[in-house]
Amino acid sequence: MTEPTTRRKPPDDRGPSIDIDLKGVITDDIKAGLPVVIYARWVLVVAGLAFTLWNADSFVQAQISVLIILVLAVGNFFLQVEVNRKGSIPKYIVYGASIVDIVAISGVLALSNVFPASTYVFYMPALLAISVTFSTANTAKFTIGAVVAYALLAIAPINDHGGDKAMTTALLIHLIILVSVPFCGAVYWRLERARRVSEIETDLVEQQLTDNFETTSVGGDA
Amino acid sequence: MTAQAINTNKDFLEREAAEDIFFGQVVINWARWFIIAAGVALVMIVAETPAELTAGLAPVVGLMVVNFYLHGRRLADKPANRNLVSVSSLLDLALITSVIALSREVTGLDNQFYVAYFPVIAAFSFVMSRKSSIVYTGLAMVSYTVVCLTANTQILGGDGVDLTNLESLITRLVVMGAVGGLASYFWRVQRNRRRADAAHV
Repeated sequence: MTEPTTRRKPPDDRGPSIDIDLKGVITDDIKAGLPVVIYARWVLVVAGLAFTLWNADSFVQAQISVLIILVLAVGNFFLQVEVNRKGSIPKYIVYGASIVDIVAISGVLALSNVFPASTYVFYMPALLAISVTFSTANTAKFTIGAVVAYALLAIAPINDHGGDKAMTTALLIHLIILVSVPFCGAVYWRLERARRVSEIETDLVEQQLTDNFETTSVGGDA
Repeated sequence: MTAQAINTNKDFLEREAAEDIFFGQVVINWARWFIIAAGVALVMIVAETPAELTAGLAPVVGLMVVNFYLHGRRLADKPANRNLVSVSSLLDLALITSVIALSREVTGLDNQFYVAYFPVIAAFSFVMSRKSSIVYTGLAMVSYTVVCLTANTQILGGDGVDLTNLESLITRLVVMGAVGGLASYFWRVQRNRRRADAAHV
């Protein structure tokens, strides 16, 4: 007995074939990007913990940083287990965890209260992972949040140095690059999505032509 | 497996890699526009004389010309091939490293232009194969390390190793590697999804 072959849904007669299973594609996109978010968070946890313990400026700062990192690690562990078990993860948990990432990085930055802080770079993998997981609109929201948080946190230490020109330039460059990484991720996400939809459409047309040919051939023989 | 099957598989892989570059190179173009924007901002604010402005803008304008050509070709559906994309991406790395090494104000670890490595590494790793991404990310990390260790004595001074500065360097290198790795991982995820779709229909 042969296994039944599963076929992709044919296009809806009501509209253009771009509408095929778009909700499914969106859900699939989040599923496909979720491991990237999880790995990015492990980078944040492992590197953050190592560098906090290696060279902490103050004991209280180290304690709070370690606490934040450990909370992230526990949350990420459960997310990783759910992904490995192929369990259904509610959307709000995925979005919430990414918000926590941005808040955690900003929190550690606020604790250090220096500019430029080495913690800044941890926004990059977090935003990159967000940009390849969520839609462009949601990526934009996360990016704006990170940019605003970073700009606000940088103002105080820059002011302490009397608004130094070199520091202001550095802040501007940091902000431009902070936008660039999720922007590139979102462009790639959209390209790949369009590419997949286009390939599915092509395959469906070929499938339909084959089906028509088979039906006509059978009819002809009869 | 017959010789024909092997050839078909090889053809498929080559076509897939070519399509990746065909579709994806616009991401590299966009990353370069951001580097150009950051470069313009840096030169405009830091330059104090017309001569400095001219000297600073020359490489940025050069990069703009390259990117106009490459992005224009992509928009005209005549995208660059793998070699041209690779050479232009190496040019990005060379330019960023030069700015960090030769900047008038601050060089090495204190120069904040190092952040420009992140979008170019991410974009390259989204588009190219895993091997190429590893080489490119590694090259960026080695270049940056060499510049930071040789441009001044912030890390390796007469008194030995400065641990605070060394920590900053290692943090940046780890995150550079992570960005390249994550982008390359997602490239692989997308490739597998396309293959699964093709097998599924």
